[in-house]
Amino acid sequence: MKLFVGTPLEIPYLKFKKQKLGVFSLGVLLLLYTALLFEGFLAPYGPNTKFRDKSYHPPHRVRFFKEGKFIGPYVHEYVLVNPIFKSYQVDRSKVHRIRFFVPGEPYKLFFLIPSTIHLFGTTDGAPVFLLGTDNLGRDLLSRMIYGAKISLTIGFVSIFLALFGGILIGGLSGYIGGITDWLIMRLAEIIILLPTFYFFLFLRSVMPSDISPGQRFFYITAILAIPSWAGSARGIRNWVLSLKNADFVVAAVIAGASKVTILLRHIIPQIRHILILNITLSVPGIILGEAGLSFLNLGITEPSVSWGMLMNAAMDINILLRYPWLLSPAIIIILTVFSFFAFGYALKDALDPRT
Amino acid sequence: MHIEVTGLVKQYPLKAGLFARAKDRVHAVNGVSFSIPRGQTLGIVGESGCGKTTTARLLLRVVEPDAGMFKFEEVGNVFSLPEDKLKHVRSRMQYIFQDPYNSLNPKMLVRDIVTEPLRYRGSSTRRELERKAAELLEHVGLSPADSKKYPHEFSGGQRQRISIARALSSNPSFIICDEPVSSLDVSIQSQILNLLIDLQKELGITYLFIAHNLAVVFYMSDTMAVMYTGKIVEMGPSEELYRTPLHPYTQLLIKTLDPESRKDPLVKNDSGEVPSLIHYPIGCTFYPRCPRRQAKCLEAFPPLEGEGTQHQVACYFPGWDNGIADKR
Amino acid sequence: MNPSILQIENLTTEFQTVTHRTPAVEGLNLTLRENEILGVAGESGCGKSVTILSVLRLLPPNGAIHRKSKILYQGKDLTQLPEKEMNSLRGKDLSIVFQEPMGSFNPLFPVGKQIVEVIRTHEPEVPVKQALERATELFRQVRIPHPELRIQDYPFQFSGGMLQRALIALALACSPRILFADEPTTALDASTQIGILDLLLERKEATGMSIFFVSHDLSLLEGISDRICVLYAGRMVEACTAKELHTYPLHPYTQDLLEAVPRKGTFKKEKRLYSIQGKVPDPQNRPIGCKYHPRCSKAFERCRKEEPDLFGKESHLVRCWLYVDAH
Repeated sequence: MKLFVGTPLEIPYLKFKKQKLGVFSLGVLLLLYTALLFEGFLAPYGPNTKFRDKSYHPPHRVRFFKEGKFIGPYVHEYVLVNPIFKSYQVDRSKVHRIRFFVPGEPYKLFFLIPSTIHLFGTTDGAPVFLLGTDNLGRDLLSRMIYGAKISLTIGFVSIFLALFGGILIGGLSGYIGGITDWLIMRLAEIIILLPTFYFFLFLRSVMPSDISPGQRFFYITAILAIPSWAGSARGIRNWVLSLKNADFVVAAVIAGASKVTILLRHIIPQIRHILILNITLSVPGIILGEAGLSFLNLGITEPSVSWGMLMNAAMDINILLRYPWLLSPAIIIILTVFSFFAFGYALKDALDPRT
Repeated sequence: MHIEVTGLVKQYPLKAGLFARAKDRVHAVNGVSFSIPRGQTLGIVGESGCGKTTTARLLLRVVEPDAGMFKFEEVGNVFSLPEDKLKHVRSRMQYIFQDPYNSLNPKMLVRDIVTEPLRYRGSSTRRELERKAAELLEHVGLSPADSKKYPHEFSGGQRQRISIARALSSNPSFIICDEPVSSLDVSIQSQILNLLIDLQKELGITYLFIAHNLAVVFYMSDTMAVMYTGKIVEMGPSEELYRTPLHPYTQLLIKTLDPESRKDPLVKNDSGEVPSLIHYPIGCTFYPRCPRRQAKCLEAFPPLEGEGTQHQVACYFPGWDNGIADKR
Repeated sequence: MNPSILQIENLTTEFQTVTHRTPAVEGLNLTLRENEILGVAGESGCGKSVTILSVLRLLPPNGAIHRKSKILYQGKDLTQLPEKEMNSLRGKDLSIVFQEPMGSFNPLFPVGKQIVEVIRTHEPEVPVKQALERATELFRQVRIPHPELRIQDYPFQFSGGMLQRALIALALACSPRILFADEPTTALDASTQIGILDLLLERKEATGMSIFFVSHDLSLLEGISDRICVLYAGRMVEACTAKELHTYPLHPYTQDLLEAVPRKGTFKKEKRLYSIQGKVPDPQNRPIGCKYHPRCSKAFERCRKEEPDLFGKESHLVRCWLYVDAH
């Protein structure tokens, strides 16, 4: 009994709207990705700006009232009292006001337009660290904002590589069939069987070591893409098998279409929504993979910044106990991954014709 | 003769695993031959599993035959054509599918669906294709505005019209209609059948019309072939087959047209059991159900012959039956 | 005339989709009598299958029977019955045969075992051995050859026709008073169809049960039913005896339907097929006024505005303005 109201696009859209968590997560993700564009503006300092005498500086406490009076946001100066254990003491005498749209370090807005205006900063140029600093005195908040670029995009680039390979290889494998299909599927299965992270490590070990950060990014992206490729290839191959004998595919054969045309024009469009789902649910895995590699100093390294790399500073438990704010990148990673999953599953439920 | 098919055979091997040798085969089509004059309709009727759809697919080489010859227009044997020449011949032959819901790509615009056969052959500009699409849609009783819609916006009957429009786009001289109305509502079936007849009159298209509904096949065909277990058991002009069916299977099928026939002993006692296509019996395959079977029938499958007439039958004892046909 | 055994009063069943609520069947009034075969004819979207599902309360989660509807069986309103009682009726008093036999059996168990399960669910005091004997006897009754061997077979070992007979055996296992058949022969070849119909008739005579037979094939129903009612777009448009439908069909839809099918012995050279213009309306988009008026060759002004009620005598009802004296 099929009672069908609305186009194939309307129904999922309406169903999705009803899932509050999914919509909210989508909002969070959009916010994060938009923030990417404004990285220079949002971050008070550059990713590698060092404040030599502010090593392991704790997060500033933003106050609003001084002796009972509201004077707007401000921070006190923190003075280094113990250079060995890096502890600081608040100097209540010095007051640095915080304002919005303050001039500061130069950067390029949208990677093009030079500007010096930042979202917030102190009026007198004194440093303000909302999330503290690392051992080299670099503002953690700024580094996290700049790190978003790599962490958030590596997922997508990687997935698209995987998908592209998956469609081409998996699709043709399913369509051609026979021995070719058998061999390719066994290869994919072997890759899937290998524990992902160890596989990353293995591939990483054969990666050349003296390469530029740009090349490094490319290599890491490719490494992260390979296990996803195998999964996509298998899934797509199965879909091709089931759609291969559909009447409209036969009609296309009769009309004179080549195998590749059939794959791209007739088969892939039927699984569009599955591919989108695939992407959405795979990205967090890649993000975590990158974070893991960089955490071990095997992925993104200096001078680039990524969230996983920032976590590396928190590796030593003693350091972490003493300077707990170093763990903040973890929170943003968790938030991002969770949002992807929440959005992805909401999307899956909305697209599922059975719910 | 526009179409001449001889000795069509197709056997599907049953494989177990990649490297196991195929021992058993499904004998789907076992030596089918027929011919169709230009502009006429040959109807093939038979029940499920008789091989009629396989036959249709073999002609277009959607499935490759194991043996046989197919003479079409000036081409000596379509089955021996290389891939590139086949592509050209295919534009002269087209196919209409049974399932209106599965034969149109749900994600493609109707305009692109109906002009697809044109798109892979030579270059037509976008405008030419649009114009052609509008033309085709009008020809089958739809409106040009429908070309910008998706298949799901249409009913079953309308989708079949779209299918027919697609089949017409490459100006074929031969169209295979595979159960074109079986999935449609009764009140729509006659619309589509009328359309097909009109198109044949107008364009002189030759049809191979396949269905399991006997009344529809009788109505649509000039000549008819009855298939059973991959072979033709009777063939001839439709009216003659209706008036004087000779093969016991044909007689049984005709009886079932009349619901009152359940009282008829022939129908009542019919087991309906079709022999396995895997362990294909020697001798006549209709033997278990045949009311006039004899020992001779077990020796070999009777050849299809007609004593010089157009009406051929594959039976050692044709015609003779309780009242329905002429006695020999 | 036999006493009535099932009375459907003002049945309206609606389905809730993402955006709105659609009535699949509207204001249906039907009576099924004892030991009678009632043919329910109609095409897709007319609500015939939904009617069966409503009576048996087997609607999907988004379907609901309207509060005002009543379905009376043995003095009880089935729409109000608690699920437990409904469960004890299904399979016992009220049984059903679906179109697809393959989908009705569990592929993992032998067919005989599944019949035994039904018997013992409704009659738990029956020992397994006896239930098995009953299953074998049922197979014999539905004319499956070598029944004692076949009850041990799995569903995939049966051909389509044989499996449908097995399904009928399953449906008859607890001697139902009403058998609901939803297109039981549509998926079968013509030669097997006749056998199944014959079988149903025979069983009806032997057990005195009633059959609620749904089909889109009007000529098939003419051959087997005592009375026939024709549904179109969720409404009943005509109801009478099978004989009268054949000789005096009143509703234009019924007439068109009978005309539009190629009857045996007609060939294209002789005459053009009569075809009904337009298409069956979507359940969401049913016309105002008479539901058939857009396609009706006899429609006039009133048909477009007002939907007619059912008129006529008990033995022949029709929903059409042509048969009403008002102007």
